[in-house]
Amino acid sequence: MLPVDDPPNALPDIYRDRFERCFRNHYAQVLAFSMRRVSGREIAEDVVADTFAVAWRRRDRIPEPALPWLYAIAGHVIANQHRSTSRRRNLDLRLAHESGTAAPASDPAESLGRRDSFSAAFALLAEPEREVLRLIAWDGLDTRDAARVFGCSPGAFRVRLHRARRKLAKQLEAAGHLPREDRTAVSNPAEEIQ
Amino acid sequence: MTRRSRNDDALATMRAANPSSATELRKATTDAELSLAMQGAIAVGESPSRPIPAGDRVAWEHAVGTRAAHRGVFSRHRGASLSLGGLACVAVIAALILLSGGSVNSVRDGAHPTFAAAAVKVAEANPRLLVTAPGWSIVHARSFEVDRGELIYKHDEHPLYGPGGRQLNLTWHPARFYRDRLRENDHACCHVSTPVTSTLLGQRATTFAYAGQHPNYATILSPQGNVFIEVNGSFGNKQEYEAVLHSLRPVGVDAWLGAMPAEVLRPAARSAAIAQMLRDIPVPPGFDASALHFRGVPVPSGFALQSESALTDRFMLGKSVTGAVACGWLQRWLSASRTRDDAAAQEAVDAMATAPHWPVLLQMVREKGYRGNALPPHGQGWPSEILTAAREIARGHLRRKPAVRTIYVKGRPAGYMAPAGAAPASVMGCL
Repeated sequence: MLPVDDPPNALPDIYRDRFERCFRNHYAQVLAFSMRRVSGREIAEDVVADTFAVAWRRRDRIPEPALPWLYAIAGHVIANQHRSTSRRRNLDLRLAHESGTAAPASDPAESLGRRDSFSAAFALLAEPEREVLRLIAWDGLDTRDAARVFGCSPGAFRVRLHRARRKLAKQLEAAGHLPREDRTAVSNPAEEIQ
Repeated sequence: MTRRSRNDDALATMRAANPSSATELRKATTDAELSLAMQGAIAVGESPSRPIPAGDRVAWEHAVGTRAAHRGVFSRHRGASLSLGGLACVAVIAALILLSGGSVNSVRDGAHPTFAAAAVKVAEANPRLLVTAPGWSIVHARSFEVDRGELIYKHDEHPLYGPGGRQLNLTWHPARFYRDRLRENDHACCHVSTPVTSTLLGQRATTFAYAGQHPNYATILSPQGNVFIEVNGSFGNKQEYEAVLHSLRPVGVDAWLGAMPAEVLRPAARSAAIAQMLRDIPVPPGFDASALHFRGVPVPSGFALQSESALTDRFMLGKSVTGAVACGWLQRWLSASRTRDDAAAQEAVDAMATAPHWPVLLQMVREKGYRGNALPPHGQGWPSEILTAAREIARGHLRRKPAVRTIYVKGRPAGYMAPAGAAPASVMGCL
């Protein structure tokens, strides 16, 4: 028998409206968030389902604004899925490779990288750098909320963001996407990380 | 161009390259689809046996705002999420099942009379490590094969998931992937510490600590024989993890197999479970419940058959049973259609039309939190494959494509690659 662990939440349905509002308002954003981080829409939909399943259980505690909270949950669902499936998946992909069959890219950045030079430059960054940039540029969070999702202090996040942006700019510059930096111009590093 | 404006431009370039626009996704999603997705999430969320480990904890801690104050109080854990969605996820990514022959009958005259012959074979090829710390026991064997398997340990006094939970995963993999696995962990997104190398049970042990709000740990042991062991778990702190890790002890075949969940290990229990699952299900003529497997056909791991060498839980057994029955009917329908045997074809259509009421399928989805008395017409995961195939034959056309692609290793079928929207009959391994 499967063990029954936590008893189901016996929450009154007065919170149902709150959950439904949260779901309708943020479903697409959480789906987009997931699609940027996993390969394949179906997997992303699974992540969304698990994310909102958690939200359902905690519907009495959905914060306002809910989006960073949902992103944080989705990030952990993805990390958890990655860890729990990575062993089998990686071995399977490797077996597929050994057998000469094409293996799908495990990271969207890898497949994007083949599409255009921006994505190629993006794919050259380390994963934490990509994640920092995704949270700001694609997920539309401010640094405070992004830091919360990322799991560090806002100050540390700003430093990471600054470095990641600089590295991305350097890669884009190398790819001819951006003009070369004018080293005679003066900029204030403190301003850059605002 | 100044460095700042250059960095701003980099961010602007990135914004323009957004691969998934939430606005576009919302426009492309109908209200009906949204409602369906919401019902699915609620169904998973209501199921006590289908937790979403890491996310659940995050939600709890974020929601009550106690993360900083209680860092380390809530247990750290991780585990394989097997929601219906999760099963679909497993099906989409490449997955692999090695099928093998052999018997599941008890080896009554053998050295280990209590256990299935195939289980003994797995045990003999395994380092057979058991957690001996008090209170720990194996509650799930998600897969159990000679060169790969996953055991999930739970502590008696703690739930497996949720706040206060404790969980440890012990997995084994082919030895040839040891170095790759080490490299993968070293490049994982969030490990923070330099990997620590030590000796555990005479083996080289490499431990990784992962960052994030909920630190967890993974230890990879150097190969023994043809496999290597990986242990991972999420705990409040490293000391707690190490206490459990250092309680690992190699044991004999009987002790190791004796620690497995009895339901899935003992052939008698398995047979009884199959008999129960087949109750109230129309089975095709000539259906042999004692030979419940698809010979030589690679099947998706998410929809794993109970191959003779596989040891897994009741849910996975349910999939193999219902899959075998459904495939039997689909094959009968195909053959009847070819020979223009309308009566036999109609019999298959009628039998498959009862699938939404198959007790075993209802029980399986109820484990995931579903509360209805008939299966929902649409959904994710295993039952929906059967229902879709039933609708297809009712309409007179069983899709064969897109087909699941077989992966061959050294000339032998070893697994599959399932494309998006794969034909259900193909996913089930019927064709």
